[in-house]
Amino acid sequence: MKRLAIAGIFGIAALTASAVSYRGFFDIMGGVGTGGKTNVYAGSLKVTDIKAEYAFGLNTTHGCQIFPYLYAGVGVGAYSVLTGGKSYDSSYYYNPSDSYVDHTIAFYSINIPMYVDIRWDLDIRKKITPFVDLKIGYQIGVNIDESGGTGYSYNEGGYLDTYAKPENGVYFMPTIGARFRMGRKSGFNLGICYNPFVRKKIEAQYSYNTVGGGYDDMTVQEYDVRKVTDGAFMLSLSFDF
Amino acid sequence: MKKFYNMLATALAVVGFMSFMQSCSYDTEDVYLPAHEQGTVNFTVTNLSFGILDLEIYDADTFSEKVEPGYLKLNAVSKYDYSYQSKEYSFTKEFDVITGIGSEEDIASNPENYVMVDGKVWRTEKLSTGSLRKYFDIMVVYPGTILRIEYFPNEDEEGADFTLPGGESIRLTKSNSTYDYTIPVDMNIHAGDSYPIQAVSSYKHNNVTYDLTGYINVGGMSYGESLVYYKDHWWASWVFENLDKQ
Repeated sequence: MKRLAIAGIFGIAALTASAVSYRGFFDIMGGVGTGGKTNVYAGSLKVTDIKAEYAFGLNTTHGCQIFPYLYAGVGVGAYSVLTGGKSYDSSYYYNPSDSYVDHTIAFYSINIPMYVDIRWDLDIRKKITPFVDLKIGYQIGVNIDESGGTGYSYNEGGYLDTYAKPENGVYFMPTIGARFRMGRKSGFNLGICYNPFVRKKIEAQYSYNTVGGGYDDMTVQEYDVRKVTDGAFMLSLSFDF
Repeated sequence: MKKFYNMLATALAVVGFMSFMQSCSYDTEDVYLPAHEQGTVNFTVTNLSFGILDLEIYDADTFSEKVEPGYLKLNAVSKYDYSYQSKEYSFTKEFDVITGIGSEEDIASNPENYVMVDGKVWRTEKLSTGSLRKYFDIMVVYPGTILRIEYFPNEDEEGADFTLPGGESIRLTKSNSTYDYTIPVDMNIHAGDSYPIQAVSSYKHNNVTYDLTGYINVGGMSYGESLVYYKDHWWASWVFENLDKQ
């Protein structure tokens, strides 16, 4: 029995070795952010509807086509989810309840995922074949804009500014789609992917008057508002070779 | 092939379910930071003095060449003693004021007047309603600021005592806010006197009502940034001013 098992393992290894070949991918993605909204209030000041808006990025993956249908590789990428919010500025109005509403969008971070990729093509030898793909790994959020303003609010009571900061965490992104064979080993892939773990931290800076201070001498306080996990629903275009 | 499509359908269902569940958990969250600018502030000015230290008349355009008559440069000092939440504070400030007080002809020929405080020129408008301007300050405070209302009577009221009508509202407008003040009772104001007033008014800002304790001073020199129109002859201005806690 033991001999049979060993023979089997060597047999599979031999078969695998004969079928394994290098395969690489280059993906670009674009889509929309998903997730809840955050409304921040500070007295009469407010910034509302802070949420993920647009997402885009790219990945490059390199690995082995183990079987005609199974692929495994590792990769790295970069993507960003723009976060927006509604800003309210009462500075221009006689009536303090009136305000100019501005839609602010912040391009504040780039997330760098490093992942293992498992992909299943029905049959890559066919001209058109469907596939499923799963990328699992870890992502590092790099803050590229310290100001990262997702919204602001100004009135006589003071100023409220909200910011978004990226957070590190798990990277998990399944993709489904179809591959269009372009040559003997190359192809074009069209898919939809969903990244449910886009983590960020919302912070606020609240500047207000106090008795003993004027506009030139405001009290400024920083607040961690909340941590949010958004999603990114994207269309993926990729080239494999 | 069938197996693959089953797998594809399962993957789609998993992704769809995952995004659906995540969307369901994506409810809107309201986060309230401490509202520092709201609330009731009890502020009582116990003493206010204002003295003119120096008086010079300067050219209206250059503010550097002495002319006569024309504009006044006042080097003044103001002193406030006030209590806030059972603590006593005192504030003294010395500053220069350049303003357009002159003869009626001067003012008529120079409808644009300027006020300079601490080197910063603020334009004031329509100050030519009286050749001798009399005014009062209502010192009120909401967090962090002092509000002054300047009074400029019509020529026919020149030099006369006047009454602040009880129940009347004064609307103060600045470029970005409107405040309505209500005079609680009739108040007879005599030029040159000072009137400590308890609970001068309350005002509403962003649906929050502030009860105010203030002080009226008649005859003091004041300055302003913008003006307010009220019943053809009420003019007001307001400034922000730092108060140093001591």
